[in-house]
Amino acid sequence: MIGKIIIYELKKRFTSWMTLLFIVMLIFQGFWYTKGYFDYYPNDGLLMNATAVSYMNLSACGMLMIIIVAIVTGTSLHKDLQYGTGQWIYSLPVNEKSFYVGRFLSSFFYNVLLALGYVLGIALLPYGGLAEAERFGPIPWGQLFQGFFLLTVPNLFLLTSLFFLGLVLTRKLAAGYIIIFGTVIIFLLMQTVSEGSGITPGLAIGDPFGYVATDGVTGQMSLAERNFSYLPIEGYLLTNRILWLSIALVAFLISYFRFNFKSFGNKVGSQKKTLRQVYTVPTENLKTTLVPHLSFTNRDFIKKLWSLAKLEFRNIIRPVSFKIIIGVIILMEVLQFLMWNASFYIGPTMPLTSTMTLFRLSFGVFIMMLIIIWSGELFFKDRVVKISAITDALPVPVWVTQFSRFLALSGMAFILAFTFMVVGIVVQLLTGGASLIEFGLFAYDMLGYNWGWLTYVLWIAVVFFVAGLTGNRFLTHILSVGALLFTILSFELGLAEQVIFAYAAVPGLEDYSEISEYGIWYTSAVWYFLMWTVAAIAFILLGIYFWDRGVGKSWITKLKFGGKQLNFAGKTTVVASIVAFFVLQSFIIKSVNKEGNFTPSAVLEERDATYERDYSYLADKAHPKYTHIALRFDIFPEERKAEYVAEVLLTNPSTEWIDTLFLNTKQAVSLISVQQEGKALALVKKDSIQHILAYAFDKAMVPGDSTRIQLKMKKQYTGFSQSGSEPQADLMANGTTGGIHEYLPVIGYCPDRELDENRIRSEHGLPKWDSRYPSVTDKKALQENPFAPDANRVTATITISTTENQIPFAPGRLVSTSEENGRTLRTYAISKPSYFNWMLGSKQVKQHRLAQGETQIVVLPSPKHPFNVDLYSNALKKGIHYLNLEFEGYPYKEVRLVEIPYYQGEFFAYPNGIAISEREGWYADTSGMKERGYIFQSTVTQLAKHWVQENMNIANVQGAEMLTVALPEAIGLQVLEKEMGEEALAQVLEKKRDYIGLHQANEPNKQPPLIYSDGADYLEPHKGAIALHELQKTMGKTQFNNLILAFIRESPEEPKVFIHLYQELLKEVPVSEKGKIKQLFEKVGPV
Amino acid sequence: MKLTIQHLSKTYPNGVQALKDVSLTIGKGMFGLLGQNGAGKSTLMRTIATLQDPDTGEIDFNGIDILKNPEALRRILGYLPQEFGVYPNVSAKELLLHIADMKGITQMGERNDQVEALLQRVNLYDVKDKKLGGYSGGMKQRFGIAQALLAHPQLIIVDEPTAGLDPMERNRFYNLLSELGENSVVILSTHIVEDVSTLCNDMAIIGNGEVLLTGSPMEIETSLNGKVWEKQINKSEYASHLEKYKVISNHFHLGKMLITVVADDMPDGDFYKKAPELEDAYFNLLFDRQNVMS
Repeated sequence: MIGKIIIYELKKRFTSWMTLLFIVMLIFQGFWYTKGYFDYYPNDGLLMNATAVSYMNLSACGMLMIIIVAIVTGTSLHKDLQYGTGQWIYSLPVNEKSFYVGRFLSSFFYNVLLALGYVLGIALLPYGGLAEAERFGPIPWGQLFQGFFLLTVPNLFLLTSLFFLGLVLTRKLAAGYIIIFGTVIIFLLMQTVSEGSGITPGLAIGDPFGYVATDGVTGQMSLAERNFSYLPIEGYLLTNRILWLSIALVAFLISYFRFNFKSFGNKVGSQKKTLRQVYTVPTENLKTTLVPHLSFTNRDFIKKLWSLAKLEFRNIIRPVSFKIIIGVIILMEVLQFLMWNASFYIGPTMPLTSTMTLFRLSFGVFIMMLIIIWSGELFFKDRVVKISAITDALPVPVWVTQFSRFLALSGMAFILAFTFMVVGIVVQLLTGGASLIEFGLFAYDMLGYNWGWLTYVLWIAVVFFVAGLTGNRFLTHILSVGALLFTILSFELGLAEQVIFAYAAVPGLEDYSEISEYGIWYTSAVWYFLMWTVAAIAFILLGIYFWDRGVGKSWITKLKFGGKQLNFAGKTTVVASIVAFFVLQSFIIKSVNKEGNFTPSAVLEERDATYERDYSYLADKAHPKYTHIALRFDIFPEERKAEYVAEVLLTNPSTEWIDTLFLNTKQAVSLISVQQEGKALALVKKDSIQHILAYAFDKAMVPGDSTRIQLKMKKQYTGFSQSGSEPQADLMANGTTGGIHEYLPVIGYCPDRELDENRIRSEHGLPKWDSRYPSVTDKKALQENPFAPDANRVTATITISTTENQIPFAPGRLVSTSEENGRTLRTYAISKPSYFNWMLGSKQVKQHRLAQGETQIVVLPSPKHPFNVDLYSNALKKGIHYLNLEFEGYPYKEVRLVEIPYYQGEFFAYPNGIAISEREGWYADTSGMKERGYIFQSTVTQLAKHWVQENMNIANVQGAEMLTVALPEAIGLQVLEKEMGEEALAQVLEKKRDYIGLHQANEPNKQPPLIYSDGADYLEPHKGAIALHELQKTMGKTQFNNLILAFIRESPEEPKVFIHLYQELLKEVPVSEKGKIKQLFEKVGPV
Repeated sequence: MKLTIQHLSKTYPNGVQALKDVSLTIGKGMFGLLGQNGAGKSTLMRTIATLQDPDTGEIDFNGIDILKNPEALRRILGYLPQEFGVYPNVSAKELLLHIADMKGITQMGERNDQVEALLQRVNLYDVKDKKLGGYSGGMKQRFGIAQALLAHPQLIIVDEPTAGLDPMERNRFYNLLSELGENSVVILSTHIVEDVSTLCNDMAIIGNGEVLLTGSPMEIETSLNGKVWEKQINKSEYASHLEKYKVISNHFHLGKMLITVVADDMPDGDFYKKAPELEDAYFNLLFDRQNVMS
């Protein structure tokens, strides 16, 4: 019996064209996801069809597969309810339990067979033309099927069991959908949290699909293992599989025992008691009442529109199912706020409004899918309940009936968005954030077009259009949800970059800074929203125009301009909306692309590759270097403009004559004039694409010669940017921060522009790098420093003026503060030549002054973030004290710590200044030791960087960042241990190890041993710091510090190379520990 | 008050020709449209009710070109489709009030009066506030009748209206329809001959998308005067009678088979003359039609 049912069901399904469509979709997903995961792991040696990539794909299942599973799983059982066939099928001589098992297994096998399309897509990838042949290994059939049977098949069993459980218990498909959505939400929650805070046992086991556990296993694999090896079934992965398979079995058994023909077999609705009537004789005379007054004015229709909208709205929100769904979402929202709390690297944050509104993004896809499905259901409601034959013949125009539904859905979406907002506010209140509530931000994010209510409305318009166009409910769901997922995944996987291709999206929606807020994206978003709004107007009107009243019309009839469902004004509005859409699009393209505010990464990469090809010859030429700068810098924040004049002393440190001054400028910088000793220099070359200008010196600079150059410049952004990678924070209305080379040109060759990922280098025909830093034997690099290619150490006076409400900051000692024409002026001086790694800007900040010995300390947090100022102050005091004590003195008498937007980078230490990202602790919840320790250690590290920069000449070769970053980190750890104890030290070290585990897998090139480290986030600040700390432990802190001091004292002018320091330190390591230390520094391995 | 249909044709994308050059003129009163399942009745009804476009042809009601101006017809139309559903979570009164509003009865009081009166007439008054999801098939059908009669329509189209009604409700509906037929054009589409003969003053028989016959039921009935014969036979004799006579129908009575034969003279002595009924004329037409086609 079971076999017969399975064969019948599978035969029927496999003779449907939908099955073919699903398989094609899954093959496409196999291609698409593999490409996406491959791009996610930037390592050059990773094969595109690496087994690790396949395992990740097979565990995640993929959005398309989940949607398909949701669509097809329940129908085999539910169809008997839907069509009422259960009333006779269930009377056949079949055993009800066998029948249930047969239908269950047929659904499960169908899902499994469909999923083979996914495997096929992954397997066929090498033939897809996505990359060169060398990017692929042999098809790993064995590994693919191991992943399929270990990950995909159990996941499908889980989803099928849960769906059937929901269906058997409620007799409603909706229950199955909700369970599938719920499962996927748990999976996404686990996955997102693991990405933010590392893979914990709870996440690895709790993820229903085993994705996080698989990520944990593959993340620990070597490159060769990732490419070829089988997935070891052990540890958390094994536990995860056993747990979720057991849950699936339990779900199946419950549904098996609960299913019976009696309760399940009746047609939907028939379980309700049918009303009985007593026959009564009519008393009313029809003729006396049936001559009403009828009215069909436009005013009547508008009134009908409103009353219908209200009726439909009530019909949506009345049912218990709506309340259940909204309740589940609210529960998820509260859980996210309370349990996850948007942890960035630092950990949990204070209850800020921006963390509350993140819910709209983390659950945005599902809320949107829900709204889309709801919309599709409502637009087809009359057809589903088969009342359309009556309602379509009523004398009401289509625009009244359909648009009223659009309004009702918009109202429903508002209720959802508003509820999320209220829940956010309540949670903020309950978690002690009453004073931090920003109603404006709540409204902008939750109710506006920043993936809030208005975004929902824009997508409802799409459903409206698709419903009208197809006239098919099922197709409307598929196409609308598909369009949403396609848009989102295209961006997630990097297949699309321009927001102009993401319907209803606006720039910067994921890029809120607590300091700069949405910055330039406020302006961008308005224009994008306007563009999408006119598109939505066209969608709505076309939806009305195409909507089939009565029996469906042919395509030719639908597309005829003479259709009557839209009057002339309506048709004109459609045309006007389409024209307005393209006009706005052109304006946006002009403002974004043509103004240079956005360049697609492929174009940018090609431009940089061209730069390297065309201008790398400059690297071998001699160029003058900045020696002294007198800078007058006027910032006009509202205009996003800076006007500045730099009197620059250039020196020729080489042994060659220099006759040309090559200047590399940044986007939006205009070089108004370049004068040498008051006389304009002749422009001999201008490359507008690469932003290079070359000026001929009147008289060539001889070796050792110096000359004064006057640069008059302006930087101003026009138009607006379109993505998180272009915050343009170096000129921003509500606070500017930028590195010195954002404003002043780089002289000579700019190595920062070189492509540093080998995969991309080879794609552009450039030779691969062995290392991102020059070799330790590179003579030229040994004479350079890692901070700037065009300066060694520089002195300066910097005067910055800005608006009255902002405070200018710059490197150096504060010389004067004044006001001039309602503007604030500050002058800073760098008297002792310092490395050219400066940051400057102007901000609204609070000033907290304190002192440690002779050193004046100023802490400059955002006025919104007073939370952890004491922690930073304490760290600065303790750090300065420690350096004074152990390292012969902190180098500055004045130090300023400023909070900067997160997109500017994490930590900067420059003369007299420290800049720390807002996300590195300024609004962290520091109730835990881990967070307090992190803030303390990372702040002291910046002071130690000052000490290193001022006391050590560092060569620009491999290992440079072991000196500039890892060594200060290790000193930071020393101070942490001393001041906060071993527990704090252990927690910070654990955090560093987590970071390594999370990020070293993303090494795009080849991980070097620490003695040849070449600058990677996971390497020097984390792995290097831990290794140096381990090394220090072998000999004791005092000896370690003394050896460092001795290393500096020996030939102080000579550029230092880390490997030499390492060799000196190694000599003092006890023999018993030497092997371990050598392993740490000379080999690539775990720390 | 007149509905004129001229040269109406419709072919579905699957090749089925549902209407073939249909022309009809229907005046005030009850008009019966009789035809077998799949004859094209519902297609014709939907087309008149503005829910389907024909490939060719014209329909005019009192000067309204229905195909060009469907909106105008909908204002005076009452339509009961063959199959329809209801919103299960809404009460009959609520939904009728809503439909009345859509039909242009903008005054709330008037709307309420209309709905209450119709609920009385279709015997749903006592359950008017109950949700439609709990209604039986017959009650839903009566609800459908009520909605079709809202707003005093001038053209009423009822497609298989008595399906699911018990005899008492059927009679009640007949009364209601004939009352309405005094001031409106009522088109009754059915395959139940008795419905047409009972109610209609004019009718058409439709088969395979074509109008086979038009006229009053009386005219059609009397066209067979003196030609209809009936005989009781054994079931085993049926085949031989089929070969020998024009057997237009058969049915059982008290366990015996009764055949109806059309012939100018008495076929044999065992036959007895029968007063022709509309059903006989209908079966005779179908018989002739089948012969022509074969």
